[in-house]
Amino acid sequence: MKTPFSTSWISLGLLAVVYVVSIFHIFAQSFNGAADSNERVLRIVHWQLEPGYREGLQWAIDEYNSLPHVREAGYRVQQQAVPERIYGQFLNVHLISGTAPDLAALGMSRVVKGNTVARFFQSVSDQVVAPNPYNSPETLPGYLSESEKQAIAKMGWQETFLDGMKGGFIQDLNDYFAVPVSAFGSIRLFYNMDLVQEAKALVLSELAAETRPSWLADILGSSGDLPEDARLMVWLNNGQPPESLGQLFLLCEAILHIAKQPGREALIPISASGYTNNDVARKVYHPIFLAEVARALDRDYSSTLDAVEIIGGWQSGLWKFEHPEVEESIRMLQRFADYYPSGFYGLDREQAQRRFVHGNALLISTGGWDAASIFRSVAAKSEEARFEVRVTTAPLAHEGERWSQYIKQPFSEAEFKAGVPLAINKATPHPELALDFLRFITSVRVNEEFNQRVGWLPVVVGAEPVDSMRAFLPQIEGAPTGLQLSFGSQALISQIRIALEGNMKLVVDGDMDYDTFVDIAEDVITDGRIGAEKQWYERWQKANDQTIAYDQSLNIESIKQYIMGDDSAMDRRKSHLYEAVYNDQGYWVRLLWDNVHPDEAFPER
Amino acid sequence: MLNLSAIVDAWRGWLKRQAHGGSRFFRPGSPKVFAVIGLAAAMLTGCAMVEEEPIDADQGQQRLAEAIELASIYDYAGAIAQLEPVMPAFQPGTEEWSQACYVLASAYRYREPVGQEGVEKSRALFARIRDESSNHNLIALSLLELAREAELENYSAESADLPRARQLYRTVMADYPGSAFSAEAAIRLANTYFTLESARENLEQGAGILQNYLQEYPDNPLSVVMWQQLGLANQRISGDAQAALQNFERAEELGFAVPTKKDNQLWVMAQLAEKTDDVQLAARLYQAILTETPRAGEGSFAKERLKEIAREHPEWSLVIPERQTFSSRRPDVVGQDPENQTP
Repeated sequence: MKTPFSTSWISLGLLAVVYVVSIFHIFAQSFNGAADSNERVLRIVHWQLEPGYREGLQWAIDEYNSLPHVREAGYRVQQQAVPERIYGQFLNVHLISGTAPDLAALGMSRVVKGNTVARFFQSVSDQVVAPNPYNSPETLPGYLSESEKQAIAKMGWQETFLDGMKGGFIQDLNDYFAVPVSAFGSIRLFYNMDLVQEAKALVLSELAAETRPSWLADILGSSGDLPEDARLMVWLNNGQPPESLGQLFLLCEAILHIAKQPGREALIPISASGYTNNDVARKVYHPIFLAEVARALDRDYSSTLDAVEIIGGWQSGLWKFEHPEVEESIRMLQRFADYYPSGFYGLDREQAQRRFVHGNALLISTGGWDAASIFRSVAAKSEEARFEVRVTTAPLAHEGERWSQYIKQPFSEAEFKAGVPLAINKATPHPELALDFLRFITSVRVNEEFNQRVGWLPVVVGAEPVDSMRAFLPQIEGAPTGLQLSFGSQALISQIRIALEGNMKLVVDGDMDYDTFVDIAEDVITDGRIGAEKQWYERWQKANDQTIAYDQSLNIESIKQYIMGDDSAMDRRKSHLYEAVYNDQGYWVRLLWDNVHPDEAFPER
Repeated sequence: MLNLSAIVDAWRGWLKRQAHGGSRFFRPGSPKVFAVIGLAAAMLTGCAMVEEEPIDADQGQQRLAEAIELASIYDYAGAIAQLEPVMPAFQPGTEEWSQACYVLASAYRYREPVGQEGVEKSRALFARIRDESSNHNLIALSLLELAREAELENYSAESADLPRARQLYRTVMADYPGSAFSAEAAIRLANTYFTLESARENLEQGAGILQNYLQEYPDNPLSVVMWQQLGLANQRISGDAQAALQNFERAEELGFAVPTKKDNQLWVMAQLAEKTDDVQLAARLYQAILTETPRAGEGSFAKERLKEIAREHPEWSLVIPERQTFSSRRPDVVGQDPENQTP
């Protein structure tokens, strides 16, 4: 009997064909490799898939590959970009199997972090003190004076970095393990200047009219958002983006009004999304609003706010949900939500960016890493659809404006760290070449052009960014970054974080009233099982668990000093010992508890 | 049609036939069965023989060098795998043996997850170094490790033995006077009092240990850690800002233990100075933040307060340093040549 043909055979056949093609491909690659067997390849892996990054890096690679000493030695550098989503996994697998590229961008991996970095990557501490040989005076840009060139040429490699190479420093190891090659700046507002001018023109015409529309009367009158004074008039006529929070609100109101016109319904003031950096209110203004509270909570003056300082502060009454700054901070979030697209939490980063690029939003907030893509997308539009993009920091509230008593100082970016930290794989057969390439790409001339091509910020002294990126240079003035009281702080235990941040979103969306939010938050915090007591205990437990890590670091330095004969280990040993003493068995958590609850025993689980 | 369940059934049937002796290949009593058993036994014996093969000194040295390298990069499992089989190759008491013992003990101590087996093995090895080694550095380090093991609850079923820990720390202090080892022992010993739940009642005792040591060995290699530790105890435990400040000032003179955190340490001192109403000292510290740590996050706060102090005390003629900006051309490098300024 003839067996009927089964469709399963087709899939089996396809599988066989794919297998044969793969085998052929692998062999073909092997033969190609064999043909160039004299060539030694140095591979770089990173996850920067932003438009232009790979092309910019390729330029630097091509420049390097064409250097006489590189060609003569038969070396060739190659890059491999891996999507962010799988980068960590990719790196883990290849590092463990010994097949990782020679240079890799540190980050994204949950395995390769902290102490573990030392297992797979080489320390560069011994190399950072000597000057970068690629910074010889004759190679430095012509706009630098002779004395500037001489100064840079003599500087230690580490000193040539704007961040002092902090971006490659691993605190746990007290050592430099990577060399950052690019910087991208912090959060900024991108304005559609055509819409800024249109909104301003509308405001000016309405001000000149006999009767003012209610939206304008409200914002300049009863709401107290913005005083109608000479400064306002100067700004309305000067063609600049908002210089204060009140002016920003005024433009947003004008845009809402314009959006009521036929054919303009798609227009919204702020292109927000669920991507935190697109939510300027939560990301930028909310921490600023609570900065004074945060400063009062920093009991040990560490300039960082720990979860137990936040919760302990609430328990001791240093802050309450009824306090005006806390309640008003939520009103501020609600106010911004009026200018966001409805259901913005459900939108993603690409949707927000697309809306702005299509000219349907007055502004978008995001980081410098998105700048090149925004500028390019707008520049690629037809002439009539194209608009000028202007980038500024989020404006503060001027005196006399609403919330000016709270929104008066930004957070400082002085402690910024340069990004894309490239580290040398311990298993590389070409460590000298890898180091040489890192010196090359962080030399003033190359780093400048590489980052200009990418549209990011250079990381070394004397290198100029492209004009459009100047707005992303770190702003030094402001409060320490660590002093941010955020309801979404990852240091808070999940139950408290959900009660605060999760419900705050509902309040902002109008799905919950403030009193209900407060009731729920207070119930959770005071709950003996899932609230503040759990937070205290878990924080202590975490700090106590870290004790062994500090001892581990000390032990390793003792091996280096007394067995391997590394004299420099003594200084690191000193640092590790102080850190160990400072954090020993999490005793500071118990001491803080005693300060907040003098007569109560520390909660045990 | 390709049927997966049919393949599985066929495989099950074959296994059943083997189990019931129905196989044509493996018939009970067949010489093939004996051959397979014999081959397996030979392989196992071979393995056992390889295990027992003596390891020469060169191999031991090579393994030791590799284990040291692995331990220095936190690869404790790798260090154990290298050293464990070759330990018998080292003559107890020799330098190589001491090093191998110390690295192996450290690897057992710090291999994660830390558990009873590892702690007990490391304890035994550190004790052997103490008793049999002639390397004084490694003996001191082993005593410190033994003391620390006694001080901590290393795993859930174990409780700390503070009296033993303190006794071991005191032994190191007595046996290695003025050295980095005894200084570390004093620091650890003092912290056994500071970390107690009754830290306030024990503050004097812990602080006394450090103060006495510093009096006797003011230039010991870890004196800066001691001054900072004393300051920290005053700040955290007794809340004595004045005493904390004095101790931190001594540390500042020596150069703080963690240079990368100098900015915050200066800030802490400035706040303590404000607390004790020593505005002049606070002003000096704010100036130091601005000039010595130009990338300090606290820079704006320092500058604001310094301006206030300058207004309140014009007689001090305070200089308010300019902050270093992040223009790509740093002021300490650029702008030195007036002919060629930023374009």
